[in-house]
Amino acid sequence: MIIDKLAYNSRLSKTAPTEKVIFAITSMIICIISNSILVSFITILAMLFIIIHIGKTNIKTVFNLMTVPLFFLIFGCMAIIISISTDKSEMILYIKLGKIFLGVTKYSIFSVAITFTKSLGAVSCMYFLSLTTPVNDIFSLLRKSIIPDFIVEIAELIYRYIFVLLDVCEKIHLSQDSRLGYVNLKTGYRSTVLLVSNLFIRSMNQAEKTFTALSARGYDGSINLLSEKHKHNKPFILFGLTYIFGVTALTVFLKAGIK
Amino acid sequence: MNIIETKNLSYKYDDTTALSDISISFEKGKITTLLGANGAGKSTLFLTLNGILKPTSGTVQFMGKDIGYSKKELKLLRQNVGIVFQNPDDQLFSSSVFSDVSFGAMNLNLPREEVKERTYDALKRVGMYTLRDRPTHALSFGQKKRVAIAGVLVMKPKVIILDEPTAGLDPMGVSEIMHLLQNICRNDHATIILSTHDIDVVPIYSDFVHVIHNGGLISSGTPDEIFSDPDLLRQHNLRLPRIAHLLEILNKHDSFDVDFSKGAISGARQELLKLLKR
Repeated sequence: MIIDKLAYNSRLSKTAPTEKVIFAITSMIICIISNSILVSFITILAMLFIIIHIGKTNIKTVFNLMTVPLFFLIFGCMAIIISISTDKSEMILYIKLGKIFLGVTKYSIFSVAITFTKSLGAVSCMYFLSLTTPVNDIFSLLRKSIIPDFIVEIAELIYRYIFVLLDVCEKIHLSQDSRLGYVNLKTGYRSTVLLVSNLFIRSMNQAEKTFTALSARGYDGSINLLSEKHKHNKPFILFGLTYIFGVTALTVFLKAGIK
Repeated sequence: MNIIETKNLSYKYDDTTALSDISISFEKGKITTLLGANGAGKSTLFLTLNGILKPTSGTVQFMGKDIGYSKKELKLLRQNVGIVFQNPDDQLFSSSVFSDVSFGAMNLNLPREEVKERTYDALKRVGMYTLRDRPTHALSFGQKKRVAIAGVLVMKPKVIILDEPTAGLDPMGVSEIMHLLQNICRNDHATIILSTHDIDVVPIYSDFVHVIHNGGLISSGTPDEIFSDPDLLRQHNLRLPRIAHLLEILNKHDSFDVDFSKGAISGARQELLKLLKR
């Protein structure tokens, strides 16, 4: 759950979440619609610039986080790059399997390049959001949105109690481990089963206790909370607007150029 | 004047009797401590005082009137009688400190500006103002406990009930929390009701003490009165404060003429000085 801490420590964490969400989603949409390697590259660079330079998130951490989607992308793209055909004329590299050819075409290289950069661009937009916006702010934004309140409430309770139950889980695991509960594979399995079933019972109890505590504070079926007002970050808005206009203009220009 | 009291109250969980025919009263504007061994019925009693549990028989009176159990009456009661639970993780449900504290005030349908002011004020009172935008799960146990207290203070209740507020805290944390409660009691004229196993703090901070055992009231009085009968306490798995115990030994075994009901350092000091000057 380090990613959660990163968002709180970002210099942009106090910036109004609405601005950040609009920026991230617009950038992502442009990146996808433009269907251009250049725009995708610009998106990735812009997001990294904001996260690292403006948000002051540690550069090494950001690159470590980026390797996670990269890993999936590389494997996903391997499936796209190889095409199957009975015609080898367009293939640059191929192997023959009976009557069919497995190989790489010019077109498949291009489509992989575009898929790869586009996905990475979209992912970096989401990374921008999750690395600069604390989850609480997302919740307070969702509350104001058209999403039904009870769904946001459930999400918020789940988010909070993940940490409580994670803590319980760690303690049970520690107490099992200290009594040789994981000394070999067989006892390990048994301990895991006990841990999971115990955790389930605990979470049921926790739900009841939380309900009691909520009732004691005047809970009457809906959770109304106040969240603190955020500051508008002028340099960020300026940068965001310039960026979005620039990239939109570039996209339009590229599309027009192709025609 | 009693702000809250029970009349012949009994409560049963399924077949087990948690409280039996208990009549107990809490004086307005004072700190009253409930002493009792584990399973004596303290937590159950607390939950009946704020209408969470409905007594099987008997009544709870708030400001001289029987409490009602309609939605509207309960809401009004819970606004006036706040409970701080023993485990803050049971109480803190929001991942933002500020939002969590605002919950109680929002339920009172106050204007947003007032909710904000009350939330800030409550956070300042418990010394958590500067940590208000930390995520709840990043707080220490003691900090969570303070936030839980702020979450009740924000409703400006007339009575604040605390289930073992000192459990799990370090010595510094204990005295800070107890000082805070004393301040709330003096400055806001709120009534504080708490349970604790930390017997040594009882004579320092409590105005009154009730001893309960097996769901019944054993004795009531000022700390001095309660601690003047150590045998009764021991019968019910309780003990004297350490200092009072020392004085008791001096009195009974060494035949010194000291009053062993003084459980606080200040009282014991007076007793010992009297003895030395003789």
